[in-house]
Amino acid sequence: MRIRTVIAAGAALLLSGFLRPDPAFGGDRRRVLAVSAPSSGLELTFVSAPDGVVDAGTIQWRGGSRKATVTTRTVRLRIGQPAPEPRGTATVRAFLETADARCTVRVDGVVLTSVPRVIQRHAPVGLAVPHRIEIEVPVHAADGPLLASIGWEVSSE
Amino acid sequence: MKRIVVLAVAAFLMVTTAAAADTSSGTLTVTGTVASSINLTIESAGGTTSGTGTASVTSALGSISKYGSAPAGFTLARGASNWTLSSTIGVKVDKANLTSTDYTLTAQLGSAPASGITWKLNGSTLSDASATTLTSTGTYGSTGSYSWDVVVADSAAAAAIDNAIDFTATSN
Repeated sequence: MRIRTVIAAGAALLLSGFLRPDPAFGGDRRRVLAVSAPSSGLELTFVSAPDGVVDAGTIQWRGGSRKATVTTRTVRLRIGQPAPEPRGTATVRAFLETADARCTVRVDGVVLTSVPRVIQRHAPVGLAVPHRIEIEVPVHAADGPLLASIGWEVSSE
Repeated sequence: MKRIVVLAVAAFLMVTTAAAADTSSGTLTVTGTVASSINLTIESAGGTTSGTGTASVTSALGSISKYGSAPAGFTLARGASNWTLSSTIGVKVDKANLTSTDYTLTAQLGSAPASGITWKLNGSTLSDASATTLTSTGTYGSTGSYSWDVVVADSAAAAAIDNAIDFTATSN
């Protein structure tokens, strides 16, 4: 009887593991029995902006039918240490950490808000990937210094 | 039986330690300076024009004479000792990132007019020496129409009358 009890307990443990919902499909229970804290390996490096600053320069409307000025900059983002070949893939998200109400910021065509949005899936780890940053200032916006900060999040796939 | 229990627990450990995505984050600061600006365009003019809607427009009048016909977009009025070609020039000034509510528009000839030729805008005679104010309360975004007259004295030599009218808009 005691042996049966032990077997039943073991089976229950197994079932609880296999039937646990996948977080990707709405399950939100975390597996707490992690072996060890993962060493990141996904640290972000702005290769073309090592100080983490991109200067859009002077943004001035040049006329025309479009009632906004769009300034474009490209930053090269590397995930992890440089490598000759991709060492896995990751999902890149971006959001406005600090917004300047006078402008709209887009990364690779995606309009940023305070909520992280996916910029790139399957981004190669170890390789620098260019991302196009657009700063759009409408003609009715006030002049003066502009400041915004883009938060980036990377998660392994 | 002990072996069964060990296997069960090991399987449980394998399942529960899988996953937990690796993540990282960073911040990129964007700086810049929004500068105010205004933009002047010539929207219309008499004659055969090219470049309307830009800041550099050409108007060709062709061959003109007192007793000939007026060029396209002009009227011709014959006087006792001169004759006048009349039309209008449409000038538009747009603003961006600017709080100014109106502007001043001036005009000046690019070179001295040929002898016997008088250039007028809004009734004022233009010169190449100083600018003439056309309006000091121009409205942004709307096309202002200014009368344009070329007065030719009967005594003027038969020659080209080529010239340029330089417009300057200044925000108030």
